[in-house]
Amino acid sequence: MTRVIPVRKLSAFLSLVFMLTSCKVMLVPQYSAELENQIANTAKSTDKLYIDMMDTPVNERTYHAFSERYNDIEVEINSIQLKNEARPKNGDFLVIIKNLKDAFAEAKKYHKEHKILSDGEAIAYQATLSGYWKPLYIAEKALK
Amino acid sequence: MAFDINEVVAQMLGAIKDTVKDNWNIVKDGANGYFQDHKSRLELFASLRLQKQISQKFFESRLADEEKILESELHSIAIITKAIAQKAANAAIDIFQSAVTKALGL
Repeated sequence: MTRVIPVRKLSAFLSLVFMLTSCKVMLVPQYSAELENQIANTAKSTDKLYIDMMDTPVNERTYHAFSERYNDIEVEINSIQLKNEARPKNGDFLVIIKNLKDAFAEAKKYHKEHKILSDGEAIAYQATLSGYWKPLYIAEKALK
Repeated sequence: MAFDINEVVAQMLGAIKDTVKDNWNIVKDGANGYFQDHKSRLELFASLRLQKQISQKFFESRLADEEKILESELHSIAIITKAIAQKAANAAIDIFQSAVTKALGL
């Protein structure tokens, strides 16, 4: 004897199976290799900005001489922020990026206002900005 | 096909335990690394200030940065722990799903 399963029961059963097979917990954004590379490269550019600055004679270390590189890095930070704004579960990332963005803007403004950076100031900014980049890089890698 | 809920739950707990255990070093190493970084930077700033290479105002601004960096690091650790929790939860769910699928003969 063939047993007929009502359509409503069958669809409820299939919905349950679908739910069981598609359920995943999501607490953090999905890993992005593109973002990891962009973060690593922009952190490297920030480091190189200050290394090159320290190789330049103090009187030639004007803001104007480095303004294009400051702007390039700022554009990359904005791009990293934009890409993170579009990701779900992005709350922690957005705080890290805002802190980095504010710190970089402050370093740029300081150079612009003081015209020239001393060795000590360049060394200190290099260390500080590296400290801001690291948590962002480590967090992105943890999503792998 | 029998569905032994006790066995499935035991396997799910085992998966959670293994995932957390395997990833715990990432949190520990991350936190230790951050602590060492703060120490190195504070030593550097103190030395630059003592040699009068930076002004008192500039020195204080860098100390204020350390607080903000700490905030970023705590958010980074939150991301790492959430990522571990996500991996552990999904490993447990995978075990449950495959047990149900097997029991249903799908």
